[in-house]
Amino acid sequence: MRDFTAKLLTLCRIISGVDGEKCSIAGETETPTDLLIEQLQYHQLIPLVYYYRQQLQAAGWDFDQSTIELLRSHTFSNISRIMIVEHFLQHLDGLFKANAVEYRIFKGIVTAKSVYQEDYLRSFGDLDILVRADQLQAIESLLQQEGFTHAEDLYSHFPDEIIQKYSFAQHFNRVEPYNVSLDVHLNLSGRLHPFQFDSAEFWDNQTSIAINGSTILTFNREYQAIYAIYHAFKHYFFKLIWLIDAFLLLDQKQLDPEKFQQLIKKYKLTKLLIFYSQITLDLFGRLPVAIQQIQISSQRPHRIINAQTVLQGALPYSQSRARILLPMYYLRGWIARLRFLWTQLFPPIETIRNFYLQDGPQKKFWNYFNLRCRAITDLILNKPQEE
Amino acid sequence: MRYRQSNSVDWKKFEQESVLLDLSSGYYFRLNAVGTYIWSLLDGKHNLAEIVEEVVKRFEVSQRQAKKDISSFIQYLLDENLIEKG
Repeated sequence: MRDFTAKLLTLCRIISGVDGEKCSIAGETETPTDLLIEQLQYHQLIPLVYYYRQQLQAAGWDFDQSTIELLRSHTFSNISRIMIVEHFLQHLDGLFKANAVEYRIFKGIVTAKSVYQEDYLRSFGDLDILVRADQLQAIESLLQQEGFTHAEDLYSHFPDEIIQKYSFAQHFNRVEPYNVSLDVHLNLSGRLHPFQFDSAEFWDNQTSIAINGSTILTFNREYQAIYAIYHAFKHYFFKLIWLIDAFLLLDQKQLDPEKFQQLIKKYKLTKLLIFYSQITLDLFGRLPVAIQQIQISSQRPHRIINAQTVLQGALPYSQSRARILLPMYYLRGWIARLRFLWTQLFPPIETIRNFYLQDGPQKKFWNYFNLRCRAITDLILNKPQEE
Repeated sequence: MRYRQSNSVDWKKFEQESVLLDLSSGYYFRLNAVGTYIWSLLDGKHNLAEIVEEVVKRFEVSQRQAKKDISSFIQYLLDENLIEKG
């Protein structure tokens, strides 16, 4: 794996324009092609590796012809995926506008269109839109007419007011005529997440992107950047593509560093930004322009959340344990940490009332009870696993 | 006989090749450099003889071989509803 992580590091340095060390490590065996492709898929990096193949080869990454063809084939697949998404979004935008449904699109496709040299370089799966809670029913109905089904989740058996109050996102999927998954977000952060965003503020600070001739609204640059860092944190920084997204978003000259810093302070993300900056400096060899003034050189990389663990792509904890323990590294002060831990293990009375004392099928109770039991059990019995 | 690209197909050139996306099925097709060139001539203005002539001029291939290969390529595109006659 050391050979592979060295290669990823080289890719990061090429993206940031910093000369890096050669990517082969003496004495390390070359990563087999199937494992290489699997790992690149995990990090969603195949089109980027194909795009930068000549520079990577010059830095010591040895591609044989069959590997290049495999990378090229995956890149073609991603180009077709972008085309599908563009057509779908054009259609969805027309449908929503005709029915007076407002939304903001964010994450994958927006990042692909905004900061990558070519949109196909950014692989992504689901589309993410933020909607107003009072329009959720209308949206569900429109999506069902379009052949989408609503994926079952923890909230499926609860009434609408509970979904609107607690649910972070509703997942919809359609298979015919082509596969599209849509995450309809009611909020930008779940109620039990350590950092809480004001969705209305993101909603109001809008800009637009052009997709297939449609003008689609999204968050402006500073908000996109802050959400990219938060999203990478939420998933423990364990996919390199999220860190590349954040790097490219923060490396835009048009981004206002002061406004970005104000948002960092407002949403209490200062410590998280320091972690992010340390990892970014180690991976990319420099900080992106918007945060170049951050002083981090005196700190040593964290023993768990650092560039090496990001490159290895493996969680040091079980996911449930990571969800509870890792955010505590980013919170400032013991009081904030203890408050977060307490909320995770023992939710507020209002939450218990909403989830435990609802009328109706027992499943509601068991869903929630099982989740809590699992969280506490995983916290005690750590079983590391790959995500 | 002239042929034109179907309205339900979108395509994008990538390096020397291209991706055809059939929006009605969600299937995508990858064309090599020759296929991409032929595809660009399926605009409703060129007939088979003209396409063959253009391909022979551009690529190292005999008229006979080109006609045979292009005919079977066009038939494949017709079968997949990626092009229409006329």
